[in-house]
Amino acid sequence: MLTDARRLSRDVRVRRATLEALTVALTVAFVFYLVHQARQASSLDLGFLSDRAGFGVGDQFLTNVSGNDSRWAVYFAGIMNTIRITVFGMILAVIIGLVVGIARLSSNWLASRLALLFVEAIRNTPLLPFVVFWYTALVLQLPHIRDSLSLFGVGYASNRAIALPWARPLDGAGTWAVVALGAFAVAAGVWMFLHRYEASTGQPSRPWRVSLALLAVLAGGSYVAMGMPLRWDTPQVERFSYAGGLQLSPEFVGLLLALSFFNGAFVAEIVRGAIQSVPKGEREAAAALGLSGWQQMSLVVLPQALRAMLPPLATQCQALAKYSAVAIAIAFPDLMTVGGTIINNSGEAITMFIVMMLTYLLLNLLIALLLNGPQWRFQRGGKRRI
Amino acid sequence: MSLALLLAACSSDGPAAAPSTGGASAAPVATEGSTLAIVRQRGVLRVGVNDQLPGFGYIRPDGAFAGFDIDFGRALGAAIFGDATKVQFVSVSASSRFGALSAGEIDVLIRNTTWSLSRDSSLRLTFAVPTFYDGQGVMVRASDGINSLDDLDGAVVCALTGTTTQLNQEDRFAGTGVRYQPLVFDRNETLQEAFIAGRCDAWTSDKSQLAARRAAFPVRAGGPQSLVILPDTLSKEPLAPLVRDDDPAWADLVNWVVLGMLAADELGVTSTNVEQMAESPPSQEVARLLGVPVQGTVFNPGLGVATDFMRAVIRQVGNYDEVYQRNVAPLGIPRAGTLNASWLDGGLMYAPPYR
Repeated sequence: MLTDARRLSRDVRVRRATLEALTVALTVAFVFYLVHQARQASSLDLGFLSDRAGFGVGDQFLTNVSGNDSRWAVYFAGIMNTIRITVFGMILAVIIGLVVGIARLSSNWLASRLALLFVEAIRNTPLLPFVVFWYTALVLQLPHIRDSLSLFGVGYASNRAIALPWARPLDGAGTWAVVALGAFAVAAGVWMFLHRYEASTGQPSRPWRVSLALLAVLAGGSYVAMGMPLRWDTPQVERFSYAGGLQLSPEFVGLLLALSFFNGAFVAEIVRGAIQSVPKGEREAAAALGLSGWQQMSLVVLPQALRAMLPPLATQCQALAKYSAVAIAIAFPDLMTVGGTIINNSGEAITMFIVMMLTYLLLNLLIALLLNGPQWRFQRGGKRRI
Repeated sequence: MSLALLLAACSSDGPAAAPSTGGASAAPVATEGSTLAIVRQRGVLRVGVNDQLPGFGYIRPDGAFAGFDIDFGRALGAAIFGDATKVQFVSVSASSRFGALSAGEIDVLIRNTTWSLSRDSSLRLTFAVPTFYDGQGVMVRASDGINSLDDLDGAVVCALTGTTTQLNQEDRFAGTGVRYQPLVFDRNETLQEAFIAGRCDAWTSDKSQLAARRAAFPVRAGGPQSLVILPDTLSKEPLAPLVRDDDPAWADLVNWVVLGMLAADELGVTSTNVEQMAESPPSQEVARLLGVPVQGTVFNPGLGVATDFMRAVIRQVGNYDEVYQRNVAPLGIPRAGTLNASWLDGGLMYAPPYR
């Protein structure tokens, strides 16, 4: 009997199964404990989100909610602001990262040292003071609205807003947008056809020039034909704010710049690593073919580096979405700021925090889906080419 | 001590207004196990307070607590022990204050706390009479020419998150049809920077808070005189002391220390004339308040403390007006013309008869 038990306890399969069962049991117990605790402290009922919000959102993106809407609606305006900062922040961060990452590998001593300084200075600074610094020391120091800076006579900059001229849609703008989209599709099709034709026959057929000219003629022609349904709207200075045009709040601009530069430093390192992962021989071969430095980079190295770049870029984009929660420090109404106010007004802290965490989870899964889709395509393409 | 407690336990069953011929200090009355008995046994009163709100509860450069709320804590110490220094102030945060009181860490909470129904009903705590009628106000730059809420149409209004001010603001502005843009910060420093830079036209919070922020407004940005608090009040924020709701006798004592200070204000008894008034009381009311014999008998307040407890309170701390003038008036909130004026001057401060 005793030897049997001893033999069992020394059996790898038994040990493994026991360990696995224990892990599962502990995990299940922990989850049950968490849910139990949450239920003790809160009803986990989402009903309060249907109540009247009672507070508005100052800066909105594609939404138009007021204090009379439900808390859901106001929270959605916060989500849209988080999406706005993530999308535009990531675009800027990639541009900054590409420039800095390439400069970092440049043979120009000054360019590579400056890039190194930028990357190291930012990577060794915490985000929160960085964001507050950009906002208070740079954006808020723009002049008061009374002394607005004029931007070439068509826009204004002050610490109330950055107001830019913007196309305001008139009647028929929607129809024209559909027509323009069709023109874009036609131009893209022509580009693809000519590009393939050029690649297969070697006949120079100028895909860019032809398709862009086609787009200009189709979209421009229909715009004039439909009575010019967009009006150029230039902002005007009023007592407390600007009227008309596109207005960017100082909070948005401050957060956008801070997050772009902060994440740009990390993207720069991703770009540098990806470029260095491309075998040296590729570049040497391109040089041997007589390609210029820029052509070597844009035609040979970067397309291959892109494959190595995409997975860490997707991760960085998810990080940016999460970093944007510092918005509350500078009064940008993202989902954390709006959610925080809902908690203060309703007292439903636990439920609301769960909702907020789930929102971030969904946003990040969406980012993974969008950015990892092309990644698979690139990798298959890459394998085929090798 | 045990003898005193025994005596206290015996006499607590007696008639509340039993005449006592004793001199200045009649035998203290306190039921064993009551909050008052526990405080007496400990020898010091524990008061939960704010330590960062100038004028109301803050720490002076010399390390001592000072402020309007602090003075009511000292008054309670004077009432119980005849000594306003037998008070230990405990700093509690906005979120930890109710827990600290429920758990018995502190005996009374005097920390600019708004009396509201849900707090009163759900927390197993009870509010004493308000010491200060506050309300949400709006502060603007004097140079902007804004004189009332109506002038704020289209303006940017800064507020701190974590308060109900946003809701009040929305309700009030929606009622008047005035549009405004909210800008909600989570830190006071960032809000102040934005206000100084001219990012917002108005700053909203409780008026007492605004006054404190105004008093500390940096000179580089124009100093306090560059700011004006508008006369409009957007919400009711009565600030009151809090006690646990398991000891009504203790709540009575806290109430009557505050009310006694109001009565002293109405009767004109101050810290400078209290001894003179005790020598020759101008009226029977003053005699009852100060525990001076009237026709040979001393009025017994029946609160479990010395019959002349208000004499110690007024001598050591002062009446309501003195406490107000010492702490709140320097912030730029005069008492006259506000809700905190005496009912005799059109305010809400009113003491029930002290008899």
